[in-house]
Amino acid sequence: MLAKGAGQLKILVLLGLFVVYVCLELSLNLLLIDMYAKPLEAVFGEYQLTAERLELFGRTLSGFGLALGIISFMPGHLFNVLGGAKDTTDAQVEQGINKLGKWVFRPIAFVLLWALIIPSLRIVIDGVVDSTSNEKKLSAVRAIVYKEAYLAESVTIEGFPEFDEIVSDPQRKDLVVALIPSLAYFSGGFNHLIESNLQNMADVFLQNRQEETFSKEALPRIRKFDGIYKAEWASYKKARQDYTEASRRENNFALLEQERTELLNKANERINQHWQVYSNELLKAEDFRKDYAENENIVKVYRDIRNKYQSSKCDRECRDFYRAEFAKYLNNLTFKDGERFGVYLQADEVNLTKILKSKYQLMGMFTRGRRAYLHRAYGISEEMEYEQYNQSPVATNLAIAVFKENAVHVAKEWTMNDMRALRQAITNKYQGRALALWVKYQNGSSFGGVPEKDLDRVDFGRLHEINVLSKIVLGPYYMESFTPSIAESRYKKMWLASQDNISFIQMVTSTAATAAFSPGGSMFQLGKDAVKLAVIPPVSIAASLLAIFLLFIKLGMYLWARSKVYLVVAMGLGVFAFGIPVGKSVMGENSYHGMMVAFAEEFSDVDTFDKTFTVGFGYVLDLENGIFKTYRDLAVVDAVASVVHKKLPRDENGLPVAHIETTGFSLRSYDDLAYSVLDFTPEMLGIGEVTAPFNTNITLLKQDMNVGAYLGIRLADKKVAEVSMPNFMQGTDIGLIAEQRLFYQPDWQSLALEYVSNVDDPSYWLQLAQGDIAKETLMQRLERNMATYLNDTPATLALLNHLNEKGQSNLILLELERSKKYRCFVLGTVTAQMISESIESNTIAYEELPDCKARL
Amino acid sequence: MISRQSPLLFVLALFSVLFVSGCAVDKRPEAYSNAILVSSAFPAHGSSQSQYAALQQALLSRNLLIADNGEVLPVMKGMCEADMLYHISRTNLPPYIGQHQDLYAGFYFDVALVNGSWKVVNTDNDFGQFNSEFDLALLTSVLTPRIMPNDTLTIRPQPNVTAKALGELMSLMQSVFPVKRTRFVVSRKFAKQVEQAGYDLVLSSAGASHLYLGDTLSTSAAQERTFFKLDYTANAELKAFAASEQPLVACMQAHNFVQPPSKKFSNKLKANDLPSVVNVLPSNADFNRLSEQQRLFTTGQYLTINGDVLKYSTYQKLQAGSRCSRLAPSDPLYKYCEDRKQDVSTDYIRRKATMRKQGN
Repeated sequence: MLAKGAGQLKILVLLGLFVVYVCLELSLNLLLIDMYAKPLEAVFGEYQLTAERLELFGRTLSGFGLALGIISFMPGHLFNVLGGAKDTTDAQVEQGINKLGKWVFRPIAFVLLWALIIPSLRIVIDGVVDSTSNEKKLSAVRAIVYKEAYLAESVTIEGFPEFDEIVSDPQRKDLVVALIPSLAYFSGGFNHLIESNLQNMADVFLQNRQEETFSKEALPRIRKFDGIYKAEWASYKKARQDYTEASRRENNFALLEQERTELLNKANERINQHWQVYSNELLKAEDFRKDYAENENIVKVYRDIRNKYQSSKCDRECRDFYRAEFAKYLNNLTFKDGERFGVYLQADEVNLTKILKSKYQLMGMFTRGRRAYLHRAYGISEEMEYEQYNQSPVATNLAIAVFKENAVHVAKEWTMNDMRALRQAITNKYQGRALALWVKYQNGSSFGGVPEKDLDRVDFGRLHEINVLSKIVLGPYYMESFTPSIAESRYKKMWLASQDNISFIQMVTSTAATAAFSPGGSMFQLGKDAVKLAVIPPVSIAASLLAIFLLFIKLGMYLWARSKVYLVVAMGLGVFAFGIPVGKSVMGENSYHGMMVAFAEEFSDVDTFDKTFTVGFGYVLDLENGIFKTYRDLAVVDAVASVVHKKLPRDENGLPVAHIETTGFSLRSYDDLAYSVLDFTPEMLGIGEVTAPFNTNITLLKQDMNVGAYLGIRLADKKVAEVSMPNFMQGTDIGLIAEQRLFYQPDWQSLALEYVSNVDDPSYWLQLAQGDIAKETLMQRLERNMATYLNDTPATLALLNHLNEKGQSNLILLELERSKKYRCFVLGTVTAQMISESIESNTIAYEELPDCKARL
Repeated sequence: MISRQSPLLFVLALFSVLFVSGCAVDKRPEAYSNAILVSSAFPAHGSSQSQYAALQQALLSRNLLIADNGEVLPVMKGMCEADMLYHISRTNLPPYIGQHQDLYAGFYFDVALVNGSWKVVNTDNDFGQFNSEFDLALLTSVLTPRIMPNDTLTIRPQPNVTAKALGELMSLMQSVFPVKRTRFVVSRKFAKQVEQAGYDLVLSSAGASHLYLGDTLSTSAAQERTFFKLDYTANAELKAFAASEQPLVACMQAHNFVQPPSKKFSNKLKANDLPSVVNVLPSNADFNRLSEQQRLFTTGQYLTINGDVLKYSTYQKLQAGSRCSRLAPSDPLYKYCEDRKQDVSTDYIRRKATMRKQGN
């Protein structure tokens, strides 16, 4: 009973462990899909650490399964290391294993095996990737290009809209996106389809990018220019009109005469008015300030001074003083509001006698003072008569003052008959007004305006100043053909035609690129990345599925022997958990296998394997789809995801910083250590050779933007020490010829150049093949002589050294039309990330070297 | 207060007041008159003959006036926006010389040493060949009664003049004319000599900082000599020109100062008297051939300053519409008349690349 209970407990524990393992495998499976459904930019960027951890998690989990499988299939007696095998009487002992072996050595062996498998898997993967042929690498790059383009919804397959529907459906998109690279990689038909359309794809992507740049960058500038131009033309038009009017006003005799007459009339009026006021005031002088003769203050001052004046001590001098004193008092008298009292009394007119009452004395003085005041104030002498006054300088000065009030300035010596001077003065008043208006326009103009005052719209549009303005506003988007009126679409066309059509995609997928995947080549890293990305995710996903399946079988076998009840329960659960969703998915309306059958019919119709693979891929998709759909939101998956997920560390500016490895023991550090220890094995097995990267990789682009050649260059002592020209024709007949020791060509320099220009012209190769008296292969000779040639071209050599110093290793030379001169571009290390960048955004950092002197 | 005083005292007081203050002064005139005579006078070179009265008014409104000899002239100096000099090459001067203070800024003449004495000559802008010379003394007698104190004399001696001969010429000119300013047109090597002698300098060829004589290309039949000065942006600015036969054309060439017509020409206009014609003639018409303009008027045409016969309607069309309204759409310049077609969208929608199965 107890044994039975223990057996049941054992089964339950096993079932529990089984469920945990399945959950972990399931999580891995789903997280892999999530990860690889992201664009490469994210995988290599934001999720880089997460991806690495997921990979390690996957290897650990697979290692467990693998180790368990191996150990359990190993004969038990192998673990009876310390003897005791003979002790077989124990019924518990099975397959000849003793207790020690079962509970100590087998588990130790298991753990050791597990620990060994984790780094080994990495080494095996690296080895497999390294040993992948360049062509397969190119296929992988194509597959990745397709995946990225597909994910970005930038590509569609003619006659196959199902793919487009899937990618625009967020429910179904992830699974297909994550797995499509493997189909593209493994299916020859699909890969061929991609290959034959790459040129077109590259063109479309490039053009998309350029058109987008035009819309986003150039167009706002053009519209900004239009705004400025319109405003400038409007302000010019207005200034022109204002100027013409003002100018006409300046030189208009009729108006001049009109103003002259007006001024003269005004002057006459003023002169007469002046006399009129003067004479009226004079008439009223007797009554002037009569009341103030009784003003207490005035009377008091008067009496004070009079008393002092009348004093017996006051002599003649003293009296003169007091007279002057009173005159001063009266003359300077003002009211509170500042108004003058209005009299001007001479000292000798002051009456300080006591003949009359002070009131009358004061009144008398007011009258006399008033008259004197008026004569002075109006500038008219006592004797002057009206007729005299009219011709006097007083009248003339009044006229001059009137003119002045009207901004007409005549000289002080002006005489009343001098109409010429007056006309001149009026002319002067208006002179320069037009010019001032023009200066105002010029000051208000964003480019300082123009001096010409009679331009029409046509002339204005053709002004040099407008041309300069457009250059400034358009900046790098300016071309000679730009005018203020050229239609946007027309300019866009011209601009697009003028652009560099260096397509990254075209460059990395060119058949000539195969060579660059060789160790040390410029795309070595890219090739590795591509293979990993195309092969690892689907294989891991399939492997985890397989592991779950195998474990079910294993469990089934185990339970078959122990408990049929548990078997039924477990299998029922298995069917419920996996069978039903998968079945639903396979039977579903949108089943993938149906679609893939159609796809295979269309695109994989040559090769039976291809066809089978494609259809099989459809079933795998269905299978995955069932699981993915059902469990993607499972709590366990989220829990695992949160453990695995690790954010890319960033500094305060949001820029990624190098991840600092923890120094303590961790799975990661163990993995890295073991990896470096076991590193020798691939070499030992002869797979994967490690070559040091070249100092500079040169990509020669021909005029038609096709890749002409790749050169790997090693520098030593500022000289070209070695040139490697991977024979990218390998595998073809022509490549074979090049490899044979067939050629001898004394004029190696022109041979090298011809090689570059004619590399994809088969007839050139056949021609060369005629004269077979060579001592070494063409490739060797070319490489050797190219090194000599580059050393003899100082400008190019200097450029190479310069790039090397700056750590830039990728030089792209674009052949200019019909010349041996090149435009130079530098590019950072080519990585898979650039593929998604070149499809998605516009940030492939080709940097043109401005003073590039490369000549070949 | 007064009432309380005795009457005697009051009378005494009154007299005293009159004594100390004097009588009232009345300076009011019987009638006011204009101190300055207001008259619609025009510059002295214009004719006040009654036969021209109506025409004169019409011309004045166009910035023009007619002289006693029937010649139509600019109304005032400032119109040309450059000084106009009378170019003397003959001894018979137009009648308005002597009343030219509002028209000419002075006189210009070329002089050459002929048989040891300085003569006024008739020559071209380059001072190549010359003829019809006459004595400076003769010029003096002709010009002296007509010259104005403000006139500027501009004298160009022959280019191959010697320093000594130039010195003699300058001392000769010292007291001949009662003018404030005399300028000599000489090459730069004589610049110092001229300035030391107290005269103004005009360079005989283009140069900075001084007025200079323009080359032959800058002259015309009307503008017989031109004088330029470089402004601060090294732009040559026309400062003066010399004219003799066609002062009106010369002035119009310097600056078209003729005011636009006050009336628009139409076929319905019946009156073809001279003032009416003057009122409708376009700004570029030749106002010195008014009788011909009168004749052409009836056919709806006029004579331009360049001697072309043009339709009024053509002129009106040119005035009314811009060049853009006249250009044919096929004309290469027509594009400048159009606004840019904004036919590119700012939000660009990417195209998908289409993968096609290619024939195996």
